[in-house]
Amino acid sequence: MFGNFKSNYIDIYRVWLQELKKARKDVGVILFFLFLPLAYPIVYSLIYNPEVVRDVPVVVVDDCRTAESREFARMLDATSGAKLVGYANDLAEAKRAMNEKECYAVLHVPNDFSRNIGKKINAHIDLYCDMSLLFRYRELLVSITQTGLQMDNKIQTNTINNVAPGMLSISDPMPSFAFSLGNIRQGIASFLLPGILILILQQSIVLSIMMLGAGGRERARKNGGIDPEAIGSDAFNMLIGKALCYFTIYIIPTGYLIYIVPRIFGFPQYGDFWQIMAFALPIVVSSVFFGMTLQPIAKEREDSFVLYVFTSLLLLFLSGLTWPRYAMSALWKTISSMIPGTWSVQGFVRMNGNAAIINDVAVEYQMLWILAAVYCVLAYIMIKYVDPGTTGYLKMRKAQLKRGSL
Amino acid sequence: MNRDLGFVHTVKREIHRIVSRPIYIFGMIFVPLFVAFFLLDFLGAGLPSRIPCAVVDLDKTEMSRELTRTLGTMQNCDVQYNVDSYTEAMKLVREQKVYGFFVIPENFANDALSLKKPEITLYSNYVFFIPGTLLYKGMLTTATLAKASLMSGVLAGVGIPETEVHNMMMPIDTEAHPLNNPWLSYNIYLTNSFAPCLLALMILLMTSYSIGMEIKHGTSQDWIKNAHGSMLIALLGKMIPHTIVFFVVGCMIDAMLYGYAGFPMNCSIWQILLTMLLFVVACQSFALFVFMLLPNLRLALSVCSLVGILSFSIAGFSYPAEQMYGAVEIFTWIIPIRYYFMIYIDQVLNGIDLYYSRYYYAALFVFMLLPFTLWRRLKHRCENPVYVP
Repeated sequence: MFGNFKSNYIDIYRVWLQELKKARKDVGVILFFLFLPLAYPIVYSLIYNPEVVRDVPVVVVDDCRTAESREFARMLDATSGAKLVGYANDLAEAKRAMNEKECYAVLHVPNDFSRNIGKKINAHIDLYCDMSLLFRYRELLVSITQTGLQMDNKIQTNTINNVAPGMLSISDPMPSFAFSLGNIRQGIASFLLPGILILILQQSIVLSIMMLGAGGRERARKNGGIDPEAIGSDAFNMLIGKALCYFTIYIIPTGYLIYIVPRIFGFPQYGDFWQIMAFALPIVVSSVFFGMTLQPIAKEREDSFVLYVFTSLLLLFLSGLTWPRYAMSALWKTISSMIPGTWSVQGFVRMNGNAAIINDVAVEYQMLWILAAVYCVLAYIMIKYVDPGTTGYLKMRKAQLKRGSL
Repeated sequence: MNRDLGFVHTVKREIHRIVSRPIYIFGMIFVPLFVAFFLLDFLGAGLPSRIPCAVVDLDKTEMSRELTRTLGTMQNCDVQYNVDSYTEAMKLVREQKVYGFFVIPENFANDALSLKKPEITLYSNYVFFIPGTLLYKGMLTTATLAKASLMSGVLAGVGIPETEVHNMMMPIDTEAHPLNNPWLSYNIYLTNSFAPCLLALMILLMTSYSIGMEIKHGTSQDWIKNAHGSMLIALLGKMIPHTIVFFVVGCMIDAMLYGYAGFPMNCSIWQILLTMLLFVVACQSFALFVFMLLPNLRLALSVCSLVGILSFSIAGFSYPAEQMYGAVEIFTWIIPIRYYFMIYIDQVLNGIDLYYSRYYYAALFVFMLLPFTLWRRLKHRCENPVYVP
């Protein structure tokens, strides 16, 4: 009995070592597990690192031409979101500027603007925004609202002072303060990157495993159904040995992705390091088994590109990072809960941004372990019954065992 | 005569290859169509609404409860919890039961009525950007409404007529007009760029894949021989079946977007379809160029994946290209999808004169010239196929 255990350990070790050797000499796989986690996050961060949109160019059509209208334009220019790039004589000229992409919004001050302020009637101001990018619109909206409120306050103070002197304290009688949790700058990189890092990690794990596995199937096809590089052991030891190998490979990339990259680019990092590492364990384990379950679909090594790369987009949406999970339809919600990426992203971004501890992400933590167990069983079935890269070898081994020649 | 036949042979051969392995059908037809359907359905609501939030009511008076009710009536807010402390509310945020909360201070009603300026604090979780932003909007509107109602009450109390009070509250009325997407729909905004971008990714991958597989399996000599040794005919014969398939898939995506989903379309459908054709060929040419530069299946596929996936970010669909670092922005302009996107903005969304998009159309044509620069290199590689795993 004891001897049996021991030989199992040795088998697992041999599978582990063999898989590690295969990965080490395979440039394609090295590209996936080294280059992808190393370079992708840097490139992504560089793209989004300016974080916020500033100084969106605006052209003014001032039909009023009074001190007030100019002041409004100047105040809008002073906000962080908008920048006046010029005056146009009429809306047609402004539209031309917009078509030429010299500006993305047109501020129109009607000719009765100052008169209405004087008459204490609502004075109207319009901002026409190009909607190619919602981010620009969002900044413009914030800027124009701020400017309007500022000017409102100023006029209010004057009028109230006129009608009820001494009541000045009434302007802004109920100030409100807003705090942004987890992403103080409200930056796009700080929001997107922590989630993307986790998705990159999983993408990298699944792609490497797929490519390695497909290599085995190619060898098996060329060699009469038996992969000559498979190691002598049963399906269970193969499963554990391989999984341990992928796990070993990914220790360093994981640490790099979830700790060092945010550090380099100054993304929010409010979580406790060891708590996050504890959460990273089921992230990697579930992704490894997820990858091992998917791998038989790739017949050739290069198939993994065609079969899996496009899922990054789907997984990003399904993870609930951009579109909240509660607002998904039942179908997509169900599908997303079967993907380890969803729970990994949900848990990690809250630990990282909101300083949540494992207790707060208990649901995600448990779901990851449950998925790890489910995919572990599925991966076992794949190795034993489906994957032609291993089934051929296992059959041969069984026959040899029967004959007693092993 | 002979050459014509070579072309027909090559086309036939390629069609045979495409239907012989399901991966071609999967990558060329299923994936682009499925993802377009996915995006349309997933973002169908346009914007998430009724975002779960909490109220920390430390005052517990009639006035504070009214404030809570007002918050509940906002389209963006769904008050699901009423808790007694900041700590409890933060716990809810960490557990993602809410995306933000609203704090009403102690003595709120008393302080408000005696004009002691009580402070309302709004917390929204920007770890989840979209719900965080929408919730903030709802909470801010609530705070503004409360302030206005307090002010008008006090002003009316000192004897100012109601009509004047109203104008005093808001002397200037600013309005932002979102042109051509007044619904602020994420579906219109994202699907229009992401669905073609995914098509581009699959074109890049399948083009390198189909040529690379010839080299990997050593069938490239046969491919060139079929075209009577002419690389041009070999390439045309191989690529045209792909062009047709991708173009039809692209038309189906357009039909989903502008027909079925009814997205804004301010130019003629023929122009959209023609642009799609140019875009498909530009992407194929780009992929061919990459493969000629790196005639190694794995490397070419890696570069195509890298370019294809990064396109979603670097083409400036979400974060404006002109705001990126200069050194990064350059890369925006080397990928076909950027030009397709600019044409979409100008022609389909905004419906402006063709004149303004002239450079973008020209750029798509320039991509088509790229493969001619290096085709000798590819021919050499095809005649002496070496597979590097």
